[in-house]
This record gives sequence, C-alpha cells and structure tokens, in this order.
Amino acid sequence: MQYSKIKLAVGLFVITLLVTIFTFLYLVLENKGTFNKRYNYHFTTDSAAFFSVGMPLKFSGFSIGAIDNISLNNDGSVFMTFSVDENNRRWITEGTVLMTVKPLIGSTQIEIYSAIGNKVLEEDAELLMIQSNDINDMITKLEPAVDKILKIINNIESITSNLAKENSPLNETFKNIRDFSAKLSNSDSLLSSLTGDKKSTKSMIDALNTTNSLMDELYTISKHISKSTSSLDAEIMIPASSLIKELDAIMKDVKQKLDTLDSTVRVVGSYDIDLLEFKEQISVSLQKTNQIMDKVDAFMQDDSKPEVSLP
Amino acid sequence: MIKILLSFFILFLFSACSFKQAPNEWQYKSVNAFDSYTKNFLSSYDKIAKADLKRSIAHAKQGVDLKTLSQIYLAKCALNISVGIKDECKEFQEISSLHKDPNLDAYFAFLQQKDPYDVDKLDPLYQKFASKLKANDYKGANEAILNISKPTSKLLAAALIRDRLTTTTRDEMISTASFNGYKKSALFWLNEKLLYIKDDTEKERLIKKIEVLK
Repeated sequence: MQYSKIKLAVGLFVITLLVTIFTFLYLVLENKGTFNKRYNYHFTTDSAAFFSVGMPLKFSGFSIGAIDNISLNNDGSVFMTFSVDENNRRWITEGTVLMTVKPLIGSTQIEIYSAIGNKVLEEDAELLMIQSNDINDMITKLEPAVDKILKIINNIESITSNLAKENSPLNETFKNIRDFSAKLSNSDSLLSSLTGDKKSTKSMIDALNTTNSLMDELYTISKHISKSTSSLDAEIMIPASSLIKELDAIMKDVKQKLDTLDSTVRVVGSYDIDLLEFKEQISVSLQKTNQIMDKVDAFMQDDSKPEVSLP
Repeated sequence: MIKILLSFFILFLFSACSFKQAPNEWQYKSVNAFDSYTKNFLSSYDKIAKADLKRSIAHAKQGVDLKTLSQIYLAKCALNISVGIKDECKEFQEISSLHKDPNLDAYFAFLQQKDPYDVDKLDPLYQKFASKLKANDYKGANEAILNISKPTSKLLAAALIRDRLTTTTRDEMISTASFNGYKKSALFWLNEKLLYIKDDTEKERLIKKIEVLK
C-alpha cells in the first residue's frame, strides 16, 4: 500500500515536471516566433558565391529575415528564396530592392531598401537584387589611373632608348657641333671668310693658341691646388674633422646625461614633496589612531576619574 | 512584541544621539591614557607605554592644566623609582614653581626622601609607612608596606627602602608584581632578591629564571 502511494507520487511528479518543461519550451519558442507564419519572397542573382542558407537580410541594421533556399536556374542564374515573419513583412513593399554589400573588411551582407508607405508585396513576389562590391568598385576606379601611369612609363622608356641610340638626333647634333668646332680651329680659310681679314684671322688663331696654353697652365695649377688641398685634407682636415666628430659625440653624450640628471633631480624634488605629504598623512593617521586609542581606553577603564592616581 | 522592540530601539537611538560629551573630556582622556601607561609600563610594553604617556601629556596640555601635568610627571617619576630606575623628577621640578600644590610637593619629597615633608599631606596609604620611615623604624616600615592595599603603592614604598627590606617583604613584592602581570617590576624584584641570596645553587637557579623571563 505504502509502495503504491510512493509510485503514484513519483508518477505525478514526473508528469508535472514534463508538463512544466514542455510548457516552458513552448513559451520560449512562441516568444521567439517559431510558430509564427513566415512569408516567402524571391530574388535572382548571377552567382551563389557569398550567399548561404540562413544568411540574414538586414533592414536599417536589424535582421528581419533569412535565406531559406538556394537553387540553380536552367539559364545558370541562381534563384534564392527568403522569408520574413508577420511583424517584418511590412518592410517588403512595392519598389523594395535588395543589395548585396561586400565591404573591404567583413563578410557580405544583404541590405533591404524599402519604400516605406507603399503597398506591402504579396507572398512569393520577386525582388530586384543589386550588387555593390566595394573592392571591385575601387579597382574599377583605379584602373584608368594605372593605365595612364603605365603609358607614361612606356613613353619615358622609349625616349631614353632613343637618346641612347648611336644615330639618334641628339647624338647627331652633338657630333655636328664637335666637327664644326674642330674645323673652326684648324681652318684658316673658314675663319678668314668669317672675319674677312687674314691678319685678324691670324691674331684670332694666336689668341686661341694663347688661350690653349693658358688653359694648360691653369690645368696644371689646378692640379697642384688639388694635390695641396688633398694633402691638407689628409694631414689636417681629416683628423680635425674626426676630432670634431668625436667632440660632437662626447657633447651629445654629455647633453643626454645632463638631461637624464635633470629629470632625476626633478624626480627627486618631487619625491621630497611626496615625502613631506606622506609624513603629514602619517601624522594625521597617528592623531586619528590616538583618538581611537582614547576611546578604547575610555571603554577599558572601569571607572572614569578626572584625576591622575599617583602610584 | 515587534512594537516593543522597535520602541526600545528608537529610544536607544535617541539616547545615543542625545549623549553629550563632557566639556573636560581632555581630563578624562589624559587620566585614562596615563592609567594605560601605568599598566603597559609595568608590563614591559615599553613602546605602547611611551605612546600612552605622550597622549596623556598631550591631553593635559590641551586643557592648559598644570596640576594634571604635574601629577603625570610625578606619577611617571614614581613608577620609574618603583622599578629601580633612578629618577630625580626633573620634569616635575621644572614646572613645580609654576604650580604650587602642597600635596604634590610632599609626595615629591617623599619620593626623593628629602626631609622635611608633611606626612599628613601624603595619601593615607603611605602615611603609616612614611611615619615609620621618619622614625627610622624599618621593621615597622616593612610591616606597613605589607599592609598597603594598592599594588603600585606597595611596590613604590618597597623600592624606596629596598636596602632595608626583609626577605618576606621582598618575596611579597615579587608575588604582587607577578600576580598583577607587572613584568618589569617582577624582574626588578627578582634581581633585588639575587643580591641577597647566598646559596650558589639557588642563585644560579634564579639567574636562569630571570634569563628565561626576560
């Protein structure tokens, strides 16, 4: 009899528990909208890349629906079905478009751009899908600029290769100038025809020769100067320069050390102030402790007397 | 029941709020701090004792009361003497001219054993002892010491004639100090006892005892 009562109690308990659990689950799922009716809509894209079943559709940053099915059409395009619940159906109106956004960073998203105020679309209607690809847009914008840069580089390359050729117009011009100047210095007749006087031509040639010898002398002098300056470099300038460099390094080091010392002095100064403050704080704490001690003393004494009792 | 408890609690709260501190609180604080000093000093808690004495003096000075301050200085001197520390009560002497109190002057003279002092001006506890002392009756003085009820007074009186004490009085001092937990005083009297023990074995035992207790 007793055993059957226990069995009954356990059975009732188990049933109650199960009822409670299922009720709780039902309420949770109901609250989540699992049992709400969902409305299907469709859109078509060129490729199913970046899309997946369960991918959310967002409106103003809120997820209002999800892709339920992806299938391939006979013409190679991709047919997708998504659904929204009763509450969010109002955002799917006539004129609503979908847009896939492929940001530079992050995963692809489907945004819903709704024409608010328009009539709500019937179930199983097809929506227009626009693709926005940030990376591709950027590359498309950059493409003409890159082409232009490449053209410029090619042009520069052809110019330099032309210039480098033996029979290039520039080189030809240089050669002509050289031949002309050589002929000018060697040929009396050309000079004579230019000046119109043989005497003048001779004096010009003499002058040119004198200039040549002068130039030679100048060259020799410059060589000497170069030699003396180079010896000056080796004997005085280089050691002096290295000394100055070393001095500079030392001074820099000294400056750095002085800077460090300065900061240290400042820190020590601040420590001094801190210590004074710390000391004051300790003094205050001691006074407070003394006050507590007075109170403790007052509690601990058996009787309160206003006079010191002499031993 | 709840109503009664609540009423009681509110009454208690009001009484706590209406509690007024005495205007001469400094005096109570000074006395309490000195009492604490006495206990800690005799118990060899020197650091705490030092802090207590400082507090006691600070409170006495707060009340600008030379009488309390004189009492503190004199009591400190007396405690020192009671444990064998030589003290001429200089702090008291420095301010005694600013505050004349025949009772304190008599007590000071009694501590320093400077005649003449009026025995009647002393605390009644000491009067019999002081009379015997004045009459050079050391046997009577020993008996008078044993009859002093206050432990600190008993120890002080004994310290004043420590060269003239009987073994019984000396042992009584050790017992008194020990019973009250006055470590400093007890060690002092143990060392005093050591001076009068002739038996080497007992002397060694006592030395060992002192070393352990230190």
